[in-house]
Amino acid sequence: MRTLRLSFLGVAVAAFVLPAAFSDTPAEAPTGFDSLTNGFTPQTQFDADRGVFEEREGIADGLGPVYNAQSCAECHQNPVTGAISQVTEVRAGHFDGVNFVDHPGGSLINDRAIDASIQERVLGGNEVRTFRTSLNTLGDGFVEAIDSNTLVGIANGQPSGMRGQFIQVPVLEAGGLVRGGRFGWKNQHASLISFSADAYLNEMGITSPLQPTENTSNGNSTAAFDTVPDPDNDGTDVEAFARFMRATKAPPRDAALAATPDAQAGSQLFDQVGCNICHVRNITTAPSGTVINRGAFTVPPELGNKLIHPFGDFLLHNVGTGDGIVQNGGQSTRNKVRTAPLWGMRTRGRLMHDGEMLNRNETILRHAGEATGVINNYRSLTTAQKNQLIVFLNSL
Amino acid sequence: MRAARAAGAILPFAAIAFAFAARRGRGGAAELEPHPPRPGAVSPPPFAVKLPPPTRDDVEEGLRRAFGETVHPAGGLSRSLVGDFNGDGSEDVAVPVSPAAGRLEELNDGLANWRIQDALDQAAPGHGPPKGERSAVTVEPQDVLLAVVHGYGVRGWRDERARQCYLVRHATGAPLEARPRSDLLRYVRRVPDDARLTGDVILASAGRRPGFVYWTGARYSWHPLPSRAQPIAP
Repeated sequence: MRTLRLSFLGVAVAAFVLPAAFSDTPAEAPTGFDSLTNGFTPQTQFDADRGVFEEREGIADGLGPVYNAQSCAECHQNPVTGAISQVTEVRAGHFDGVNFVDHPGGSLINDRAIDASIQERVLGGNEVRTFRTSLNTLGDGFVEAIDSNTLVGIANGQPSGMRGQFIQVPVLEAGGLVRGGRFGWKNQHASLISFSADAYLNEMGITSPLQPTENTSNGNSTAAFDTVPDPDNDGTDVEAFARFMRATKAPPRDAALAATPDAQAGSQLFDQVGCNICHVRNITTAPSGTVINRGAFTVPPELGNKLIHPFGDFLLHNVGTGDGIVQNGGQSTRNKVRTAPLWGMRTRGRLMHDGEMLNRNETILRHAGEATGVINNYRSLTTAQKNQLIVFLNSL
Repeated sequence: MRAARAAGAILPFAAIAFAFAARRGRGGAAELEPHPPRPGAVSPPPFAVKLPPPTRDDVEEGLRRAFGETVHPAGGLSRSLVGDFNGDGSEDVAVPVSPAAGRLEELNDGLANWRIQDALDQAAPGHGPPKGERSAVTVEPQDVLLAVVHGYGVRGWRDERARQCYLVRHATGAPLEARPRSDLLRYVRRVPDDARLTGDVILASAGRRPGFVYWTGARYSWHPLPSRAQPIAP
């Protein structure tokens, strides 16, 4: 009798579980500003990796000689570690009428140095200047797990005058083989390991096996001030940063505000106006088991086949905001920036790539170029409708 | 019989385990080389078409499209200036305007379709976020502002879609003349270190100090000319 009961229970469970197991319906990705793991790593590992992400580095750790911050969390902290901040970096160079030319030493002008004599500054003749605000990294594990062909599909579905540019960029841990870029204001990275190694060098001045060469100061060697043999770090920190970001939850909505009639009406207007053409609501990550980053990473079940709501397309567009800087995408990307994913937008007071917009309406009106038609639709809304749209944005 | 019962109990659980195992390993394939994407949107070629000088009707229509009936030209439409002020390759127009009677509330509405700026209020990029944007700049009844309508595509500010527009205070001083960016560069020899010139400029004094109004990438700002500068011939 007991066996029969067990057998019946097994059949019943199978009846419910098997369809789910074989279903292709993506599961919602976990969200939260709660410093809890998304399941990719156990909480203890997540906490340890977060500790590395928050660690303040000193000169003995390889900090500098030129750098922007002492810790990842200096720029990625609001409201929790891994998110955003008001901190900006400076990029500069020269436009010769045809091409962008890097500032001596590269377009990134580091704001700090371990010695006053090597402090970087923008040199004359480099009239292209821009600020870049710190980007959110929460949920980036899901972004990394998006198949490049999904991004191509989004681009191909956009109207020709608004079609985003998809670029392929080197995956450093795969020997420089390329993959669809998705991280950074210029989509300059495709993997979180590459992104971490780049940031460790360019923001903190710490070299690692994937980025073993120190930055210069306005093009001049900083070797005389570099007391730690390169690479400054053996790569374990880079792995910890990437593991931390992969284990973060995506930014959550403000559920209470999102449930208000104004926010719901604003949500409909967002689509009606056409904002969702580039600020894409829904993207599904690749199935678990998919080998990405040109063989360097396999999508785990915790990140695979997940539905995310980034409100971004991870493509480059010219929306008239300039920037003027070229990184990995070639000269055609000079005045393009990645569509800002709007998830977590309510935590920002300074908006757009340079942080120069301080309110939502002005931010919307600053869009031009490819976004002209959409913004003209916005202009035709009533004041009440504009307010509803802004309430919706404030719920993100 | 006992064996059959046992099998009956085990099989469903085995099936579940198999299903999950199969699901976990269902990916397994490498991300495919992306299909060639269709070309991204192309920015309009700079001044592909030589545009005629602005007519009174053109300017009136351009202002009306952008600002409705909230402003009117100050001192006549003959003072309209054209150039690629924001450097996007499309012709823009700038006209001194005054607020229309009874329209101040509409002009200063926080959700209006234009942005109001003060050319003297902010430092150039590189000096941190401007102070002026924090407290909204408002239009006063006696103001004379520079209305700028940014162009779109080859038809520039005459295009029906050209609606991005600005009202700029402290930007209408004499001589109020548009000059190509290249002229300014010849004149001042090099770009002032603290100005990010992306487009053509408007020569305009602030008080008695000669200078120029330029687009920073985010706003219109005024910059003084060097003290030894000579007037630029039109």
